[in-house]
This record gives sequence, structure tokens and C-alpha cells, in this order.
Amino acid sequence: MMVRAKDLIKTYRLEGLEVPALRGLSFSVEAGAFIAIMGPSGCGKSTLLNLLGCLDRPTSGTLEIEGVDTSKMNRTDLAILRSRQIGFVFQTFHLLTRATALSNVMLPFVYSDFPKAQRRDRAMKLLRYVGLQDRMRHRPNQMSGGQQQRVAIARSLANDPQLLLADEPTGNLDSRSGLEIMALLERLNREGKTIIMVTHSRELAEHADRIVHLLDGVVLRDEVVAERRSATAQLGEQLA
Amino acid sequence: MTTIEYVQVSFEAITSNKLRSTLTTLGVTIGTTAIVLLISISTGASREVTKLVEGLGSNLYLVTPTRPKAAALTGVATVSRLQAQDADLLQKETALRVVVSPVLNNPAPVRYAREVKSGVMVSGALPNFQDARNWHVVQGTFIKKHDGDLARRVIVLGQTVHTGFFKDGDSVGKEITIAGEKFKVIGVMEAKGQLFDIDLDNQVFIPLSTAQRLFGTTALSYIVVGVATADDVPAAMAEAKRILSKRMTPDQFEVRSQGETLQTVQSISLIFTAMLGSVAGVSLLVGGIGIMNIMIVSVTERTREIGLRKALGAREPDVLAQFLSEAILLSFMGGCFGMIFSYLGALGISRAYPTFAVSVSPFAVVLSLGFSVAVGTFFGAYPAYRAAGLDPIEALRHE
Repeated sequence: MMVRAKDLIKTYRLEGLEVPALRGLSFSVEAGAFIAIMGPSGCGKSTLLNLLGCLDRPTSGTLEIEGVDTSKMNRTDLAILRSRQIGFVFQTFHLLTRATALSNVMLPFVYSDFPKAQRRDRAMKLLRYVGLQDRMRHRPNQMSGGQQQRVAIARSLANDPQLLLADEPTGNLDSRSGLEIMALLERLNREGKTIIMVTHSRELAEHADRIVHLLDGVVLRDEVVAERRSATAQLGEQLA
Repeated sequence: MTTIEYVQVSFEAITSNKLRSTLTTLGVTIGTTAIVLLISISTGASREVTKLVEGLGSNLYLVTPTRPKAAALTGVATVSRLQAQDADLLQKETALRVVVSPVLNNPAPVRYAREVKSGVMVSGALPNFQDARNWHVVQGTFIKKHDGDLARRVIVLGQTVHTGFFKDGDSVGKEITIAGEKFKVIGVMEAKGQLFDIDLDNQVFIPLSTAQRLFGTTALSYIVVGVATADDVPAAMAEAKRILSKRMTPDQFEVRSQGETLQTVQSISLIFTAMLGSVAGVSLLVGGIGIMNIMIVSVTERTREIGLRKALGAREPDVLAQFLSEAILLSFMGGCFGMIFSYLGALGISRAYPTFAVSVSPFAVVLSLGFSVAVGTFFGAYPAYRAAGLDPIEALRHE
């Protein structure tokens, strides 16, 4: 099992008031799955993603990632876990604007013990993988949104994590670029990566094999997608 | 993350905003410049004074009439109670072997052919002056006993006067005019150099008796007493005070050794040191606060970057080290600029005052670079600590 969450409760304290974000959420994700998380604003999507990404700890409950309980870990151990096992893809890309695509992809190596001599080769290989072999020396402002997101995906793969967390990965892109990003995620999933994606869009969610619907901090419905959409196929149709 | 990586990342961050970084380093630049110049000038000054004292001879002391402080600095002769008898008394009654040489100084215009030099110190001296003052002729002869006995009009030139009138030529045998009287040049003194602004070589020597007649006074400007060894100077001085007290009240004369002159000069340079030292201190403090300020701005500007780095696996010590090294590098660069400016400053001072050899010492460089690193560490600590403590989720969401 890649992820096993049990009775997750997360409560924020805002100006003395306790605001519950997750109220005993349980769900699990098998290795190699592609999960979409949907739900209205305030349902706890972001909170859940932050917990899955080990950026935060639950108030109570357990959260196992690859069999390791993260709910009691200290911040340093969580940081090490993030660098080795989790890749982040953000809606707003979060690339370093001063750095080239290559430097951006190499950034995670700085915080892992990845062998120095192989870093550049690994980053170049990843950029070729996402189709940016001609853009390695470009800075983010010299690239389109879709290209920037592909740099971000290459970066998320740097330390070869098994779990990719994508927060509205196509939210800032036009539909064509968005479809290309989805095709890339589908391909990564086929090649064995576990992907958990948060999205507002039913259409995008149908690229996953399962949709977890959240409401008020608990799982409302866990839906297996009957007819999966394929971005690769859709792109093929558009070309034809 | 290795040290080199931290330095690389810091360097990129600093150079990405060159103007801001340069302005930020300014305080540290001024501070370190002040430190280096401070050390260079004070070591240069003490070296200079030591050289001078050694040149004048540490085995002598001076007896001078008490003068107002201002007059003492300008060297203008005022009414003196010091007489030739005092010199005789000293010579006779001092138990130690000493050479007592009375001198009458008077600044006067000196003329050769059509050329006039004003402000030349005309010194009436005895033949034993050379030994007492440890200052000798390089050409011709010094004043002889019979020159004094006959109050002859002979003159020995200081180097500045000699080269001023005769360039490289021969001056011995030529005629010099002082106060309308012609003097025959019999010798040239060796160069003695400058005591700060006073050119000791801008001086001429005539027989004491001639000077007394020429200037119409028997009062002495000072008595120079040569002692066999430097160790005997304090004893000889004590003796001199006792002997002279028979003829004068203690407030009418002063007995000073070169060591005491050295102390006076050193106390002046101490004031100078304190002044530059406070400039250094204040600008390092202000510079440090400037660095702290700009680092806080930098942390705020790069909140999202900090969030990202944390998401990618940066631990708190990683972030702390990154911003601390940036602050240190910024301050260190200020220190490096300071080294350039202080080198130029030392060069400028050496040009303006050629006798005043100011050189930047390696010790000063290491010390002030050390200071710049310390300032960066101290004032960079708080912003770096703030950056390290940021919550990654909040930081990523920061607009």
C-alpha cells in the first residue's frame, strides 16, 4: 500500500477558534494508482494534500506512506521523507525565476544525497523525458506555461520518488497545454508512479482510475472511474 | 548541501540585485576601510617616530626654557632665561661623562646671490654640537673652536638649504648672506629628515658667538646634552634638574629626553586612533543593521522560494545556513571593497606625505576581514532564523 490514512483529524486554530479541516478521514491508495481528489472549496482537499506531502502533521490519526507512519515524525525526518519519497507538482509551478530549467530540475539534489557527479546527467535525462531537450538553458520567463509545468514535473522526478502529488497541475494552463500535462502524468502512472491529483474539474478527474470525493473533511464517496479518459488518445484525435 | 553550494547560491542571490547589494555593503566597506587605515597609520606613525628618535639619538636630552605650548609647537623663540652659564654649570657639575652643547636658534631669511629663502632656522652652535646631537657634516668641516673665539662669519648648511641654493653643485667656499652680513660656507650637514611638518634640514649653523652678536641676545634656545649611553639618560636628566635649580626656579626650564617626545607624539596618535576607531565601530554597526534590514527584506521577498525548498526536502538548518551564508558573504564582500579602498587610501596618504610611510599590513587585512565576517554572522542570524522557521505551507501560499 502506498498510502494508508486512518481517522485523520486536522484542526486549525484561528484567533482562538478551533476550525476543523479534516474530521476523521480514512482512505488508502495502492502503489501504482492514479487518484483524483475532488470536492468543493473548504472540503479539506488542500489540508489532505499537505498531510500527504508531509508538509504538516495531523492533529490525530495515522498516516502511513510506504508503510511508515508519518504522523509522529519530527520536522527533520519529514523533510528527509519529502526529499526521497514525494514529488510535488504545483498549480503555479513554483520555479526559481533566476535559474535555468536545468538548474531548477537539479534543485532537489541539493537536499538529498544524490551523487554529485550524476546530477547534471540525471537532470538532462529528465528534461529530455518531458520533451524539453531544447529548453535546458532557458529561464522560466522564456518558456510557456506548459513548458514551465513540464520543468516542474521533471524536478518532481529528480530523486525518483514513488509518489507524485499534483495540486491542480493544469489550473494555470490552456486546454491544449493542460492535456499535454495530463498525458505526461498518465505516462508516468503507466511507468509505475503513484499519482494523487487534486482538481476541481470532473473532466480532468476522469483521467484517474479512482475519484475520492471529499465533503466537510471526510470521504463522501470513493468512485472507481468506469470509463477512463486518455489524454494521449485525445491529443491523437486533435492531431488527426 | 556543501559549503561551496551555499556560497554559490548566496553569490547568485547577491549578484541578482547588484545595486541593492552594493549599497548594503557600504557600511561594512567604510568600517573595514577605517580599521585598516587606522592600523596602517598608527603603525606607520610609530615606526616613523621611532626612526626619528633613533636618528636623533636616544642617548641625549634637551634643556629648554619653559615656553607656552603654542610657541613650543611652532618653535618661535621667546624670552629665555637659559644662558651660557647654565651650559657651563652642567658641563662642570655633571658627574657622568656628558657633552653639553648650547644652541641659539633664530629663524631668518637667508640669501645666496639673488635667491632668498625665508624661514630658515639659523642656529648658533659650538664645535661639540656634532657629538652632542649625533649629527655630522658630510662635506667640508663643522664650526671650529677658533671660529667661535673670533666670532667668525662661517656657515654650515643643512641639506635642504644646500640643495635649494646649489642643486648638486659644490657650496663650500661660496658666500651666503644673513641679515646683511656675508658668511663663508665651510661645510654641509648630513640629511636628518622631517619631523612631521618640520624640516630639520632647513637649517644652517653659525658659531654661537656670531649668532649672539647677530641677533643681539645671549639667551639660549636650548641646550643639547649628549650622554655616553641611553641607559644613563634618566640619571643625567635628574642630575641636570638638580644642578639647574640652583640658578632657576623649576618652572623656568624643562628637561626632556627623546623618549618623552615620543610619548607626546604617541598620545596624539592615540587620539587619532580613538577617532578612527569610533568611525570604524559606528559604521560597522550601521553596516550590520543595514545587512540585517536587507536580509529581512530578502527573506520576505523569497518566502515562496523558501517554501518550495522546504517542500523539496530542505531542513531547517539548510535554510538557516543558506541565508546566514548570504549575509556573511554580503558583509565579506563589503570587507573586500574596504580592502581595496584602504589600499588606495594608504597609497594616497603616502603620496601626500612621502616621509610618512603608510603600508597596509597583512594583520590589518585579516583583522578587518574577520570583523566583516563577524558582522555578517551577528546581523544575519536573526533573518536566517526567521527564514528557517517559516511554515512551508504558508510560505508556498505567500503572494
